[in-house]
Amino acid sequence: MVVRIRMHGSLARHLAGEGADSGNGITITFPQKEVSIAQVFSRLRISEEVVGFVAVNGVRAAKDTWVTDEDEIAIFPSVTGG
Amino acid sequence: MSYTGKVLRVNLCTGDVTKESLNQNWAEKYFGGKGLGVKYLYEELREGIDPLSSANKLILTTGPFTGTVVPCSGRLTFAAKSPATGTMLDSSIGGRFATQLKFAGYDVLIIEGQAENPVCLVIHDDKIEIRDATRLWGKSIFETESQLEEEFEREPGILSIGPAGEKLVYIACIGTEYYRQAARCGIGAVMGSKKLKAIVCSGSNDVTVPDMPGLLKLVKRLIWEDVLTDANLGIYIDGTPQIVDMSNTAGVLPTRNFQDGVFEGASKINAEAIRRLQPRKKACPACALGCGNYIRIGNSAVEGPEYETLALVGSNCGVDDIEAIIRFNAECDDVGIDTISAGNIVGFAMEMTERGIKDFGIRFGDIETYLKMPRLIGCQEGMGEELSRGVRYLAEKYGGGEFAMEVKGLELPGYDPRGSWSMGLAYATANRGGCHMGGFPIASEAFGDIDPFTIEGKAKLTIDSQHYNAIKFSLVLCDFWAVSLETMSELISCVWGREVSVAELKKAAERIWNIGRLFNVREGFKAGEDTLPDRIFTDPLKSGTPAGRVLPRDQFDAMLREYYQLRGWDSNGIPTPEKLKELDM
Amino acid sequence: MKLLLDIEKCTGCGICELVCSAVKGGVFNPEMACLKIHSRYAKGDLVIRGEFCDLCLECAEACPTGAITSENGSLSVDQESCSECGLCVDACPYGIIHLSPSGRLFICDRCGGSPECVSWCPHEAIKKEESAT
Repeated sequence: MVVRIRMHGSLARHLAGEGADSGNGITITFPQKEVSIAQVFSRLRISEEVVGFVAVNGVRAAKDTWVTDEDEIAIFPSVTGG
Repeated sequence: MSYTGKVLRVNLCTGDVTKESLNQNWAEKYFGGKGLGVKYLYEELREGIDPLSSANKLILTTGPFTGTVVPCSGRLTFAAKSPATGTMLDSSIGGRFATQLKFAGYDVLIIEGQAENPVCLVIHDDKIEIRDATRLWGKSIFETESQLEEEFEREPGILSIGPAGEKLVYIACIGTEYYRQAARCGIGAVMGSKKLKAIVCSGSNDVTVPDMPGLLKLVKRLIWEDVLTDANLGIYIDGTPQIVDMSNTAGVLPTRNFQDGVFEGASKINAEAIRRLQPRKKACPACALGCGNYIRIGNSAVEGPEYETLALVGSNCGVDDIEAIIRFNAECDDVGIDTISAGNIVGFAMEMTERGIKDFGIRFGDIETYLKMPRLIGCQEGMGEELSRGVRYLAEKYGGGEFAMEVKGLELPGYDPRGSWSMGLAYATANRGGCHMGGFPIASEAFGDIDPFTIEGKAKLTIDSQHYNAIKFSLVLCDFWAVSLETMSELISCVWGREVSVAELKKAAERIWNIGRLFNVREGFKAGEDTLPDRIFTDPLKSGTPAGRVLPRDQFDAMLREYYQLRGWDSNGIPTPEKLKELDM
Repeated sequence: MKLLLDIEKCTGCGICELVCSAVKGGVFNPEMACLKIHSRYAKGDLVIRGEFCDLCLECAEACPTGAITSENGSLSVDQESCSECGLCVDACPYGIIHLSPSGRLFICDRCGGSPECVSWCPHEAIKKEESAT
């Protein structure tokens, strides 16, 4: 299955290796029908510590959510203030 | 220790200038910045004074790290009694004034009384002058700085007010380096009430620490291992605009006077929209990050817009035109008013007009009229005079109280509590009114791992967030460095030359929080004022993650009760004698 | 060795100045740094400029005792020979030579080949260029 990832803020740099900027995001293919958010992090080689929260299809999702074909995942960095 | 050990006190009634010793006992317990400022305020003010009278004081504090290479330490704190809320106020500003004050030889500057005619205070090392500033009175902040920069050879720190501060507008701010402000709670009006148009400061003295090699080694490691990391770099890469997409996705972005938490125009006012304008980065002294985005569009220039401005002046007013937001922002900075309150007030006026309750002649998205607002409000022209008094006043006079988005008279900033219940508690209990700087629990909650829609654990989360900020802003470290308590302990131990444990910092934080609360209690604040606008309890959000939700009143009440309990306060929210004794107060 | 400021990268944080005075004089005081970074809004417009020792040698020429010499692309000072006359301080076109209250001369000596300002800049805005001389 294929999911589309957008990384925001400081995390966008991690996508640079995958050939995208944070504006467009990238698509990733997994052989399984479903994967966990943790598996997505692992594939992107980012540690959970640097992630603030995640949204699946525009809605904030718990980090133990499972995603499936054509899901859009937004990954936001942790912040301390604003 | 790294203090100069000197407090500069200037009385504008008598013209007396005195240099006294820093109260070391207080410095040990309150550190500097927010804590020390509020402690001096509490001790030196008596209850019940008129904040716009000569009895109020403008207290400027640095911190133990100011003037050193400790990263993100170059900020100044103001403390005073707020004319907008009647509570204590602490407000912080970037730019070089704080470090210049320290290099001039002072940890604290206290301004008392009122001048008869407009004055400008000029400080260079131990040479202090109170100069006539009649020629500057009436000038905007940008004009004032432009004039003053010609008069001084060195590059001093300059603080000034615009017409809004002069006219005692409740949302007046103090500006520095053109584009930075201390803006909330009417701090600019306090300065204006003293007829103090500007303060200019430069210094040439050394700042010393007991273990320079040790500090340099520690800081060098921290800059690369703790500051320039994923946790913090977003603020350098994008600045605070990175939060627009976060808020919108979490459904907490104030939209059309907090009628919703998702804005259809968010992608036009987010970090990407700012990036397209190719900002130049600017940092405060000793900041290894650098959050400032300097942007010039046509005749308008800003260091910003910051997230709060994008939210309150953008989505909250139904405006998705980034250039219009920048122009509004620049007008606010020039005339000298707070963009958060200004945007919130304009959003309220828009809803009142659209609902037919009171015609303020402006609707959501009406850019033409909207762009006139900062000057109308700041210069007290036409309907600006009334609008400037804030949404609480407007609602009392015209109605619409259910959606006057304020707490204790301070307009709410950019996070909707219906999508982040801990922020609701944070807003209700912040010492200076509806504020996101008292504590920022949303970072771990809606923007983190914790379920936003439960009250479980939220009282403790909010208290911990408030304590984290209290100690951070008293050591004076910038909000944007996600520095741990352990690292703060390492830094202050090195700079003080004695072990300062995390436990000691936590206790100090609680003390700092309680002294602010005591100030308000002494002014007569009651528990009933620790609350939220009706809209939060009764009006469900419509879109996104929190669609259909309110923060239920009974849940809020339970959260607040637990908060008082955990704080060791009585059921009226008053710190008990036992708690005060425990905190050595 | 030349030192250059990349004004696209410089944020004006001044960490370089603080570190210079710290390493040379054991204190934090930008006025005692052997470089100057101007990052300010002149009439509201952002102006960034860096002033470094560019080996103009006005100081060496002004020095009556020969305490200041130049070799391998940087200056050095023989503190023993320095008479603390201050002529070099006045001669420096950038005002980045300082006499400390204890009589020690602060001069940019490129920190013996590994400038601290270069290594501390968080955004690598100060670059060093090895020159032929």
